[in-house]
Amino acid sequence: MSTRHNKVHFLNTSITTLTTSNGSKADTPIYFYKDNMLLRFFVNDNNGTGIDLTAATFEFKIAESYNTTPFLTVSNSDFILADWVDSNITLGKICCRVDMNQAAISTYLNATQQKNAQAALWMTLGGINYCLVSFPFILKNIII
Amino acid sequence: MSLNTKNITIDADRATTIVAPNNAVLQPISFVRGNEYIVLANVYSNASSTELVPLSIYDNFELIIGRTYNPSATPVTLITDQSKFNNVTDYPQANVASGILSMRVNVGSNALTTDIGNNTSQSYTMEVILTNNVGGKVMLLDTTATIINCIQI
Repeated sequence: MSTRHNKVHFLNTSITTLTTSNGSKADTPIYFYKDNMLLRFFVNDNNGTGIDLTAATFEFKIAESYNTTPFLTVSNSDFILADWVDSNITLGKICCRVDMNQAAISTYLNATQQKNAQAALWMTLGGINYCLVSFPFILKNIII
Repeated sequence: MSLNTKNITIDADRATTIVAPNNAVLQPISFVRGNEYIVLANVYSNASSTELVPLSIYDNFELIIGRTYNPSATPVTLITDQSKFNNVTDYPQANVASGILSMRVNVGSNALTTDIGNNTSQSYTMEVILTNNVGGKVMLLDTTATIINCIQI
């Protein structure tokens, strides 16, 4: 397992929303400025069954809001399945590295304790883009 | 891959979506802004029927998604290109004569982006209108659609 800060997200692609492991609505995630995270995604259909994502490429983005320039974009090269020993792309179990040490995040937070932000996980397969999940999260500041 | 496929059942009598055979009304169909969907629809004569409705007398389909009934307002989605409807490439089983329809819906217009702004999601009205070769129009579907906002790829 990676030494990064592990976070687990279950998601239901039918409603494009984060869930708990039993399918109910998940609490709003908390991400910290400067955190080095390994996000682990369980990509499930409406029945809780993992979706085969073989041959897909991925992109994860976080931003202040839906129509602003993202603070960061995690490209497919940072979806390194070897980071998670139990990853299995045929069962929708994927992971990505997210480096929250971004100047744009610092500028956004300034001296506030926390602010709301948005995240989205996209997949491209066969030239078609699919939004796997779109969710709000709490972006927390740290004392430096 | 069926991630962007939506299956619906239409009660032609009430121009609404149903779950046959117990007449339960579906939750609003949901779309994510920026995605393209294929909506597959079985059209039944009424909520308690398993009889599919032949629609071959209609030669023009329109799909409209909007938030206001103001006649001067621009819909956030308006699909009139007939190649987007009942295309067997999208859905080999599509058959207008048998009441089995497909509709390719792109939910990413500038009008939608402006209208939804920074809201997490927003409720819209989705309509499907059919026209026959003498200009007669029928409302096939009048339902609620939820559009979920998303950071774009």
